Amino acid sequence: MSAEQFLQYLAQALYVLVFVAVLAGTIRRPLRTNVNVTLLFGATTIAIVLGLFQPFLTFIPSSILTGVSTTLIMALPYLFLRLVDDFAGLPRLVMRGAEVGLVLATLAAFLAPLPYPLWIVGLDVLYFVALEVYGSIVVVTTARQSSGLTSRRMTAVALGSALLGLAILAAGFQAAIPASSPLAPAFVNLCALGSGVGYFFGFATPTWLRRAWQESELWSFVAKSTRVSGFDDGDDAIRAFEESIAQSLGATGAWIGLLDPGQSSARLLLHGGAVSVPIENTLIGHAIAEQQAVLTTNVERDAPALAERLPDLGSSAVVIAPLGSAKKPLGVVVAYASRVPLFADSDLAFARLLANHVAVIVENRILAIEGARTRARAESLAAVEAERRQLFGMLEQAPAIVCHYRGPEHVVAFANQAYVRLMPGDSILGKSARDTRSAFHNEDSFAVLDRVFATGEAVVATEQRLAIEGSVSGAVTEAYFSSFYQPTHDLDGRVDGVLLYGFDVTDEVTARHAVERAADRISRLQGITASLSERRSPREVARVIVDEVVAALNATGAAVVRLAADNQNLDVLWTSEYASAPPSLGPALERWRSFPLDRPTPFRDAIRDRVPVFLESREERASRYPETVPEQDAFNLNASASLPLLEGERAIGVLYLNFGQSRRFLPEERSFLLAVAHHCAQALERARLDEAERTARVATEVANRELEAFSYSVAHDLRAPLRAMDGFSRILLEEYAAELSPEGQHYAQLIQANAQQMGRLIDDLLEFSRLGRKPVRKQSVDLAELVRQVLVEVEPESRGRPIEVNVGSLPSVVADPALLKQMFANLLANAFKFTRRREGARIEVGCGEDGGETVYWVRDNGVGFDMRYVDKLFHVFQRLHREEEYEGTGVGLAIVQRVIHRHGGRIWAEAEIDRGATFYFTLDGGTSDG
Amino acid sequence: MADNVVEILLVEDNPSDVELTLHTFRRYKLTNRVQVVRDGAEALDFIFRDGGYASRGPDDQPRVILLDLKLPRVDGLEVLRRVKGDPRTRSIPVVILTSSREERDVVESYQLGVNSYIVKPVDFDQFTEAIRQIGLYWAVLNQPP
Repeated sequence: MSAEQFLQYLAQALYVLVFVAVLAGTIRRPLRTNVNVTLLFGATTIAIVLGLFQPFLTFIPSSILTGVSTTLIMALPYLFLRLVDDFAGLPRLVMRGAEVGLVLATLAAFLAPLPYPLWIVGLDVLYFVALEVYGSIVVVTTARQSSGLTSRRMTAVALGSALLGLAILAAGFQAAIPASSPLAPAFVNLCALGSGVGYFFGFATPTWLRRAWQESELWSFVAKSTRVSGFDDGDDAIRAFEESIAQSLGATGAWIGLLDPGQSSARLLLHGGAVSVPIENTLIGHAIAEQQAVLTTNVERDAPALAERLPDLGSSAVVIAPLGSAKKPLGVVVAYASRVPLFADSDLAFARLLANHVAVIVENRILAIEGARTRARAESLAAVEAERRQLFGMLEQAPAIVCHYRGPEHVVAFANQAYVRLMPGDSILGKSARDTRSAFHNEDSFAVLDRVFATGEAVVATEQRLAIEGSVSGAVTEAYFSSFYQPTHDLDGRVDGVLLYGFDVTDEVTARHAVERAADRISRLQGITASLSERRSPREVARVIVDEVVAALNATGAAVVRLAADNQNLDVLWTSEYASAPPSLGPALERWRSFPLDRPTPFRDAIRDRVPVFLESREERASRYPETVPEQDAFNLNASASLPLLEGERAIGVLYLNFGQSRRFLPEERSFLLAVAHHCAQALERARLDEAERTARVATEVANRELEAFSYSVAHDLRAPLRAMDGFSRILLEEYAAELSPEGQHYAQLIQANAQQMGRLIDDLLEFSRLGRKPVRKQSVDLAELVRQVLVEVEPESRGRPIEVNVGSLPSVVADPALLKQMFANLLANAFKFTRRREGARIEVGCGEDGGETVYWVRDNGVGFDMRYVDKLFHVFQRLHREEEYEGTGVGLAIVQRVIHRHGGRIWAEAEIDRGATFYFTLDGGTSDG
Repeated sequence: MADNVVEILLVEDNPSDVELTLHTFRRYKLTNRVQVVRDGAEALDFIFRDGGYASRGPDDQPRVILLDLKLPRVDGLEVLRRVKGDPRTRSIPVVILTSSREERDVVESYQLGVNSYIVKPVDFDQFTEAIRQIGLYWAVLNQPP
């Protein structure tokens, strides 16, 4: 066997080997690309086999065999172009041209006579070489654009195609010029062999070579991937990483999808942000579950979630490789390409390999990132702590109180000096607030701390009242703080504690309270005076006072005691014990109703010295009034105030207040109590006078009632005999006149007249007496109108005489209209009566101002009277005229005077005999009886 | 109208007043129709057919009662109260005899259903006016000829 033959067989063997390899691949994965490759090498292999077995195929005419072989050979460039079209896409014109060429070549192969004419061989070679070279160029171009293993394999394929073309070209030359060169057949065979090798490496890459290539790709990938420092370094880094993957796989693009924590979807980092795609029952889920790289050329069907996110590149193939292991899946690598991969098997295998590496990187990166986070966190924690320490350092001297409680148990992590000063005893640092004693640590503030810690919302507590225990004395003082409870947060934003800032507002609150208390005291004082202005019994007065002072000074108790009539004992008028004690204590309290004054007590001193006794503490009381200690201690009494109730220079009792704790009596409190005591004394005195007056009034009323009964008896019993005298003398005169002498008749008339006169006297006397008892009911009275009415009533007195009556303008007055009417009736009746004998009688009623008071008068020009007897004028039964001249009982003016006196006025008269009389009166003044 | 039927019940303790009143009635021919009782208890016995008047017929209630206020035993106001407080006697007109104007006030203040009053001694004109006020004028005063 010559070297040429060996080379030829070797090349043919390689082609057959490639055919076997691609046939196996196609059976395993019947992709269109694989089918095309198989067809390509199948045709080649058949042509080779036909050439080899030609000597044994004598039953077939040589022309047919040659035609078939030639057709198969001529089909190779077309099949190659189909393959190239699959992954690179060729213009349709090229493909149609290639198909036309193939048909023509086939026709020529079967119809042309053997040996083929040279021009046909020339055209065949031209067609073959042109297609092969064109395909090679496209493949090389594509290989240059793509990368990695695919690129290498495509380069090998392109080399194979180019060499094949070269071999055919050389063979064509050899056929045309048979003796051109002795080396020509060898060159053809070498080219064919090179072509076979190229195809072999390209389509049936040996495992070792594939590994070598993969390894180099992997290293190159790893080299690139080290640029990616983390997945949260930003899009660019990930983009670069994904580009590396795509490049290594020879894909258009690639994504890394990380499983979300629930592992129900994968998060793909795409341009424009991450998207989550579901993985259940999808190719991604399948790839992860099977731990295999998978390929699909029908993305729409197999991975719809991916399809809609793929860039519109006409992507027809997607490779999905799982990241991580079945035990610990991390995610997937998704690579997509516009064309089905030329070498799906190796691509998938490499994808898996790459994915493993990516998984390592991803996991490393994740760990690295977490590590970095942890590191950063630790650093931040330290920074926060440092910041807090610095802050607390500044707050250490702050005028406000500052305390930091940490955790749900409110452990005191920091407390500044101002806060510590409020604490008695041990340090509270590191202890739970609930386990420490502090003014701020009470149930209220725990509730606030719990709330702030739970809700993370700040709470403002204004003017909390705190009992601060003095660290040395143990004495408790009152303080007010306005506090802010503010949550503090850890690095993750969770509440990790509560910061308390408290501002001491004691001075402001105390000042305001003082103002409020002052206002309260003023209003109480007003309330006391208002309430005491009503008529009350001493006991009621005492009760009002006790209630008010207890409320005003927040006293434990109070009492009003009064000096008894014997000046030796004190009587309790009222104490707060009465109001609060259960009825069963009544007898016990009775014991305190009265007690002697001679014991050395604050009461005694208050009454004796007429100055208030303020005892501000138990000690002061013990030193000043040791005798009172047992009884006061029995009731746990401490401070007390004893204020004398002064009526003028006389102490009539004591207002006493006691308190359960020691307290200072502020100056304004002292003056308030003095004012109350003053009002109390006055009210008590008024109540006493009221009582006296009431007693007197009751006595008067009794007397009046008796007098009234007497008057009625008088009226009734004195009249009865008069009626008999009058009645029987009248009967004598009317029915027995004939039997009586004129003298007898005269005597009977005298009896009758006297009886009647006595009846009038009795009537007037009763009227006079009644006026003294009748209450004066004052109201507004129109005097002018009243006088007109009276004139109408007394008019008959004039008996038709012409009398000039002048009524001047009279005001309205406040008086008892019935009494005034009677008074005017009497005055005017007198005026009519005493002008009876006067020609041109004139009566005048008027009024005028005199010395600031209104003086009224009734004037007549009648007989007048002698001013020497003016003293008797208003006396009962005093008459200045003889009965025969002017009838009357002598009671009328007494009644007038009584009415005037009962109105608080005065009455007087001026007269001259035969020149008339004027009666003046006033109505002003009080209501006391004249 | 039978002669024994009492037209007027006079309740008066003072004999002079009784005599003067009866004299007035006599002058006007009313004597045999006046029943005199001398105190409040007797008045109540008569009106409610008790004591000495228990056998009195049921239909001869007085047409009008002249009642003094100041009476022995039971006073006039008590009699008035009992008469006006009993449905059987409530409709009998009561004329109060008063001794003075002041007593009038007392009568008015009690308002126990007094129909009228007359100031003593009983003046026939006053009596006529009182009877007219209580609407018995024709029955009591205008005797058939």
